Amino acid sequence: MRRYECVVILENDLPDDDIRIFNDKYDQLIKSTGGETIKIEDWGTKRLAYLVKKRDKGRYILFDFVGTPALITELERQLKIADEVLKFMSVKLEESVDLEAFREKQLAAQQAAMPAPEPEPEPEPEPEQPQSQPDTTSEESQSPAAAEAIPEAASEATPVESAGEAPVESTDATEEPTKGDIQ
Amino acid sequence: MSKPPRKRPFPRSKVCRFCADSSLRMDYKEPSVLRIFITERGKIIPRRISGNCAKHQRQLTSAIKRARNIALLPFTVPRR
Repeated sequence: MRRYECVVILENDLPDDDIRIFNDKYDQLIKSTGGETIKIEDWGTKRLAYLVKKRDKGRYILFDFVGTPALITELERQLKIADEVLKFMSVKLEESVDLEAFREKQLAAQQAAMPAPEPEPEPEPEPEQPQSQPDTTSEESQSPAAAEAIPEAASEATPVESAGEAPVESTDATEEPTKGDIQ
Repeated sequence: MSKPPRKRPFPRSKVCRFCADSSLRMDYKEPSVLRIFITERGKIIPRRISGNCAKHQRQLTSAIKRARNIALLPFTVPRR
């Protein structure tokens, strides 16, 4: 499996429904051959740098997907036939992609991404409870860093050495018991 | 008579901008970055003038050529 990117320029004046149908059609094509669509981006209408089929504006769609070389030949064959397509270009991004490992990575990325956006939208509908929790956590996380940064900035020469030694000793102390437990 | 001093129309920048600034990414999808490295007529600015290193100039030319292919950058800008 390889990772590809395909930029398609469509006619400017297509309604949004047609664009959706177009996207779904090629999404299905990619998935029917065992590939995976990573994302479909709509860049909107852009001015073309030169005339393509006597048009000076076009709507850009980007497909980012994983698939086989056979998929690309089929995709390009269909894009050549489609009337609404002014121009397209597919680019190979990666030579070999392990699809299962890739899916796992995507899932992990989604799970990692999920907790982060959640606290942001929540404070708007429920202002009191969710805001207080993130604020305290953020203050706790920020305050030690700020406390460390200020003494370092204020007095550089001698306290830094002592501060540098102290954590090393503490880490050693924490590591030694664990080693003993293992042995 | 001695020759008049040579004029340098383009001052050469010595440092590769992509090496110096890692946040500056070249991508055929971002014509705004690529536009810095083409002339008004749409030609790719040579390395001896732009100061790019060989590696980044190679990547840059392919990015510009891709961008030209999907009409994000012009092949030529006709003289008026």
